[in-house]
Amino acid sequence: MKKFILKSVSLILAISLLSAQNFSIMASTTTAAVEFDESVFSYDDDLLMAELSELNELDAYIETNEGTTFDELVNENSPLVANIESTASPMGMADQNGEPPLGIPSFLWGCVFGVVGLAVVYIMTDSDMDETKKAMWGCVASTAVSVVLYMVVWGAWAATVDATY
Amino acid sequence: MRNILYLILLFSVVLGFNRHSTAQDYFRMSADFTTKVKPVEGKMNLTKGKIYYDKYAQELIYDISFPSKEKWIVQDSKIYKITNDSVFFTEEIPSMNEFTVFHLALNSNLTYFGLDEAKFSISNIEKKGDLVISYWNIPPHIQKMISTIAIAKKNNQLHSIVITGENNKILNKQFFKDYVQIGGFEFPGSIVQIFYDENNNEEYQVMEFKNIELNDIENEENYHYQLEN
Repeated sequence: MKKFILKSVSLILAISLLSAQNFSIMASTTTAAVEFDESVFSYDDDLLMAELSELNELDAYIETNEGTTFDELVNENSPLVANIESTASPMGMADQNGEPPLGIPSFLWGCVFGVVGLAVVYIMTDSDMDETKKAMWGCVASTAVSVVLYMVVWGAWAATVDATY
Repeated sequence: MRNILYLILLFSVVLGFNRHSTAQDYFRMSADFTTKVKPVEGKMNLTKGKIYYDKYAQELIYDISFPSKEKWIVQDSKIYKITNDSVFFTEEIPSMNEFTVFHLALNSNLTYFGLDEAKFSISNIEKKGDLVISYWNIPPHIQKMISTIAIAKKNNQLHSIVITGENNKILNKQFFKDYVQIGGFEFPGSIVQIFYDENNNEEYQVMEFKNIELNDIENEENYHYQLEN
């Protein structure tokens, strides 16, 4: 009977400890209330068109002259490519000079926030694979540490329970 | 009593068939794409071509026609850049295809840009004009870097995302426009991204998609690049 009570109390304490940790995490996940004006969810389309006018002109030319390459336009001394990069960037601004999101090392993003951090790095660096890879290693490292800690804590708990009997 | 049970059974079967017929599985897509990048400083970028994506194979293929003919294959944990059937660049990457707009759209998870799937939670929802704006809880440790993620829906479609940093300074806005509807599948015809630097200068990135094709099973080779080729 004494053994049963001791085991039950140990189990309840362990569950309580885990629950308390979870509640503290949940409690601090709230964000300060902020509301945006509707205008924040819009942009100046005329300004965008003006900024992209050179690119739109080149795009229209490529559409009507399918198969034209950058090198061909350079050889023709076309003014359409005077201010255009020669390399492809299908996923957008892939080259952000290796800058991690908000200046925080990508490893830390992955390490602290796991998969969510990985996603943040991927989105914020606009698919920069170098930075995302660092975040992934952070994610792997934190998972490994968590597993080791989990095993150590449970090992210690099991040893304590065994020693009691 | 037996008749009622038969009726219930018949109703369930009919309902089941009906649900099955409307819930078509969209598993792969192709589209013509154009990416335009206008940085604050430096040269601009124009890339054109075709994308192929299969959500089960999770292989993303960019068949680029401009600036020059090349293919980018994003496969498992690697990216390969290929010209004339030979790989000229390879890099180890984490498998991130499931975070792309293609994967989210094929899985009908585009409405909240997959944030709900990534276990973020909504802190507040409000209606402003024809927009339904949801504000998402930010995990505590990144609240110093990202203060708010707000997602606006319009006509039940993802309209825009606004990400703010310290002091609620806007870092990035994304707009999803000109939706193309094919059966139960919807995809933005254009995605406009605006990045703000520390001086509030704007960098623009626009991705345009057209000629979207779904579930093409006749051109299998377009969706699976054989690297030994």
